[in-house]
Amino acid sequence: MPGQTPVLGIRYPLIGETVDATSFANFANDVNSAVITTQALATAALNRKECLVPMLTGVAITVAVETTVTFTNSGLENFNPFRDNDNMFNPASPTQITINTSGVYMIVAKDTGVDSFATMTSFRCLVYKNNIAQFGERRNEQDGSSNSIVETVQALLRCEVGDIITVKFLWNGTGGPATVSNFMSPALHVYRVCPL
Amino acid sequence: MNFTDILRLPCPGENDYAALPIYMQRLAEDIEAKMLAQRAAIALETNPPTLVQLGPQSAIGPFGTSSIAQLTLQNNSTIFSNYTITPPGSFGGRPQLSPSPGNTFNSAGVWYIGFCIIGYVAVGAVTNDSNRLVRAQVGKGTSSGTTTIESFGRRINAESTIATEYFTGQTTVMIDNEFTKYSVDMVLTHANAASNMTLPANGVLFWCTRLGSTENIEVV
Repeated sequence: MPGQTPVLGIRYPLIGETVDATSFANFANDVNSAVITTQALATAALNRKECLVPMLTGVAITVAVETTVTFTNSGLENFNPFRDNDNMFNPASPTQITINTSGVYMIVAKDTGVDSFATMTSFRCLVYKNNIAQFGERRNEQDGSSNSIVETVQALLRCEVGDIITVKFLWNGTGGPATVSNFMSPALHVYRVCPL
Repeated sequence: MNFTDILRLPCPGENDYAALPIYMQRLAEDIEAKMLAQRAAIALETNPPTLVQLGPQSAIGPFGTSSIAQLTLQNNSTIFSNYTITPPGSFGGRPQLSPSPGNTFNSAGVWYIGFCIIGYVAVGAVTNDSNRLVRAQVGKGTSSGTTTIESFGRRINAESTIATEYFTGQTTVMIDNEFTKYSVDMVLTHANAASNMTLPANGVLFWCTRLGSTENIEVV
């Protein structure tokens, strides 16, 4: 019976055993398996689960009506990348992404805002999980500005397989309906920080 | 016995063939040790110490403009953690948002910490443009008191027609090897003179995760 290392189980001959071709083959195969496993871990570290999906700009949002944002992976402007290595975004359900691998995720709703209103008194961006508000921010314009607010909100959330992430805008002021702004590069970005 | 140049793995010389079993055992053990070190380094990247809490379990308030609400989350507010703190202190080794030293961080490094206030609500009228404020301080206990390492937070202004507020804040902070001396002191105030305010149950989302080491790491 050969000996073996305690964790990875790399087999080696013991003193007094015949060292033959099988001894070397076992050794090489065990090292090979360990290297493949380690390489898989390294690959996963370099390719963490992630979805970066732009928000569809120009979509109308009525004053004082909370509205779910639509995402898109087509017809993108060159400053809007799309990346999804875990099939989280489905164009057939463009107002959501779905978590396909459980974990703690960083969720970022970035560069959000609206245009095409008369005056704005406040703008709110909230991130929902399974239609329950998780985090976000409402910003107030003290003097009813005609300029758009741009904001980025982010947080760590515990996510299970099948959890649905959505983003909703709410603005108050006059005029409109406003439209989802393309002033910056609005997008939803989620990436896995660690497993559960 | 000879050795490879970088990883120093053994390989037999011409006089070593009688000791092949010893050579193979040593080689196997060396390979295992180096590979486990690699896997540990990978795990620091893919499974960093992380804590997510949602609390408090009961609402805070209503309280007025002269009050300061301490935000401390206990074990029952933890919705995820993958590390323990040593020594365990008064919370059995479970990390949490706490103004007491030694209850939040388990190791030195660069940490990312943040919060979100969810549904901070005025029970009555809203004073237009009055502020709502979270002030957080990462402190390090010393023989003469607490030294502030990092201050961060968020202050927003209210709109008179809207009673409920949401806001977030985050920062990175470098924790040194005396991590058991660090605390996170987070307080909530407001300037809504027209009525008191209440932070509802589960009105605070708090998180922290270790981003990386403060030292250069090399696995060989």
